[in-house]
Amino acid sequence: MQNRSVKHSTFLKGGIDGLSTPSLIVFTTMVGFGALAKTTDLGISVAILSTLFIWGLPGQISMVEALAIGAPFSVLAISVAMANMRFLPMAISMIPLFRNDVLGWRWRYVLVHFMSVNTWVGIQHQAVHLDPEYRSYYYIGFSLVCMTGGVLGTIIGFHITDLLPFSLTAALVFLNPVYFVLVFLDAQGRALKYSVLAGCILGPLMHVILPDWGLPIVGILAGSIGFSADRILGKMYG
Amino acid sequence: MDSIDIITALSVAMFVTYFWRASGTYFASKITPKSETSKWVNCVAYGLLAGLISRILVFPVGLLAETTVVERLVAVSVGLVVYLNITRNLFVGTFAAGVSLYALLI
Repeated sequence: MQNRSVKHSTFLKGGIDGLSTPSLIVFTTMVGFGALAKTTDLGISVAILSTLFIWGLPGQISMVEALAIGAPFSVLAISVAMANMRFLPMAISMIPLFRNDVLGWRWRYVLVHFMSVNTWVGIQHQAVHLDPEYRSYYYIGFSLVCMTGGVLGTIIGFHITDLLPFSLTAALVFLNPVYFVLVFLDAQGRALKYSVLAGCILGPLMHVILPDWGLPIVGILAGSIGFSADRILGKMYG
Repeated sequence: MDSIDIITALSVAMFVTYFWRASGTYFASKITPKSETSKWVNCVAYGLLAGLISRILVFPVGLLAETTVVERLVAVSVGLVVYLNITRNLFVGTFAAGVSLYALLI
């Protein structure tokens, strides 16, 4: 009985935390995706299914673009994979948060589907304040609210894209990158701060040099710079 | 477009995306928590996401590509100033940048 009420309240806390800015950001982002899907004649159901089951905007955009130009499936697979590759390091860094969780390890393969930058940031920030056994309940509550926001955004974006002026739709889509700039500004610890800084500089730079393969390289380079800088500075100043 | 093609495309996109998630989950069980390797992977994740976001701001695709880089950078700077100097509220900072971009575009 005790356990059930802890699970329930942790789940609710996650839902409430998700209900504010995070789900709003997912909502406005997916308004942009709904609008894009509308312009390519894909149909609302495909747009909604892709939000639910891909759940990663850059990959969704790649899929829509590949379909629109009639690219072969092999090209589609590679471009979606490249666009969503961030989920690999993100999962490696997030999943250990659930190592003492009451939900068994098999569940982690379900939990990982709900991971987006938003939910990843959400659980990373809250993890230390949560009971390690029940973190998954917070995460599920948080993720379900975000996903609902994403689906609503997709539907609304699909239907109102012709009604909204360009300036307003652009401003809505713009909220996503701005939000994450502010979130990453607060990255904790020297290693992460330097990694973020290096990533900010290398991101646009590598896009010019290697448009298709740039991002994984940016991650490895920026992460290694941050990691090494932290070690070197640690040895010099402690 | 053939509906079977669309369903295949959707399935392929779902599969390759979930592949990364599942691989990450598998590797996570092989890496000792709080080890140097896990620290490094965390740095890579932060570096990659920061790179992705700054790339979206400088070289966006889709709708934002129709705005200029100056408009975007001015708007994000407003958000930063508001967040860092006025209120440490993510919603207010983000919203300030959005309103600024809207004002620059109309």
